[in-house]
Amino acid sequence: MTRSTAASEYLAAATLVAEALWFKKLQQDLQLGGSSDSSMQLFSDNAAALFNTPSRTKHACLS
Amino acid sequence: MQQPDSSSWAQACDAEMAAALQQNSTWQLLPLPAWVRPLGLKWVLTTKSAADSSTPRYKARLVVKGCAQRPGEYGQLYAPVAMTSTLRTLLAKVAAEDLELHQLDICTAFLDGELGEEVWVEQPEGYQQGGPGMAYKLQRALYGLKQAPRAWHDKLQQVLVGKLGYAASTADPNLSIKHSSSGSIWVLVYVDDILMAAKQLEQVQQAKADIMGQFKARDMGEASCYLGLEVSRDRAARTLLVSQLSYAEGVLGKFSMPACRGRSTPLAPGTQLSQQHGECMGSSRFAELIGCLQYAAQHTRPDLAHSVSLLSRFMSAPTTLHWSAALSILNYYGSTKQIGILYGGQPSSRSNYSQQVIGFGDASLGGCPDTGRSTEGYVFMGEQWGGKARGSKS
Repeated sequence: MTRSTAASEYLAAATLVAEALWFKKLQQDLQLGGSSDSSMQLFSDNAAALFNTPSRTKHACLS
Repeated sequence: MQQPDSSSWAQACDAEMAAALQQNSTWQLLPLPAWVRPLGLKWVLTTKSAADSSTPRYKARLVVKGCAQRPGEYGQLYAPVAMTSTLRTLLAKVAAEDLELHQLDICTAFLDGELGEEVWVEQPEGYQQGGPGMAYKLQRALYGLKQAPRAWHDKLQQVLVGKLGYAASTADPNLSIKHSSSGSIWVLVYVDDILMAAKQLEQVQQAKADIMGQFKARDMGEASCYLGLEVSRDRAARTLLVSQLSYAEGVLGKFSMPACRGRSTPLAPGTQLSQQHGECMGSSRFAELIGCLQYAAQHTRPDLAHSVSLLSRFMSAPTTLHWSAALSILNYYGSTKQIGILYGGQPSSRSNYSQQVIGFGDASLGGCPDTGRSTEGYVFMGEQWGGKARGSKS
């Protein structure tokens, strides 16, 4: 249970990233986008959630 | 059999017995051991109307009463099928890169599955031989058997990966890929419906011949209707449209709503639904409608995804309010039944289409009045190739 908009937006963003990582595998297998290091743009519309996103993460490379 | 078409049914049964079962060395007639309880068999008779003729095709299928199987008599049952996201991404690729897209249908697929367990079945009605005490011991799976889908999936993967040199995708095991000097080919499997995409027509023909050498299959030519999804392409403009018009018409007919006045949105903005309001009603009709809408939402209608997922929360105890909300989604669906997802296009970027995938995520805090839970959703848009939407609780 989340108690702030930022927390629920943050969780939504986490789900988005998890799906994006899966999609990236599919993209590689389908040879979409050519090179394997093609980046993805992900959008979330909450400033607080974005502010809390660490610049270094364990499983995904964010920039 | 007293019906005027009884001879057609008898012929259909004979055909099923002869072609499908005996040629495939499906079973062996043996004396039944005393300690074995054989499973019952049943004939399922259906008429199929072919698109090109007015006389219906009589189809008889012999099935096992798998409901009598008990845990312990079978092992693993889970059989994966291709994910719809994988299918859509493949279609987007086909549109953007102008690939050949063909379709193959495996005949009596489940009869090709190999059984790991010993299964005995009674002799089918009308075809008893060898006197009492004789029963069939299965060598291959039969329709209706609990392990049949899994056995078929394993068999097909074994052939694709082991014999034909494909590699299963890590993202979706039902997507198989083969790279060779003449190019790559992608094969997507949904139980017995196979979709293949490659740059050259010869590659597709070769892949079809490979598979047809292993299984009895029907070549459906260029894909136009896969899993009820109507695929129409404009090769010159490099566009591909997937829609489910005939599915939609079926659903509208089933819930007797053939003519829709039309709505501009599935649900009014800001609709709040809770468990408490309205009078309780039976859940089965509601569940059926939501299931039908969910199928459409998952495949070609991301615009329905949120409202359908909202209503699906009340599946166990719907009220009249939920039912009228579901009907309003159906109304919207009916008035927009011809729309689908269009991939490709944009001639300006045809030579080098944008390769970036864009994802959007959003959440609504405490959207559910009963539990205070939030709702989240996301969608991916490849400039031209991906589309996916889901609303889920967290």
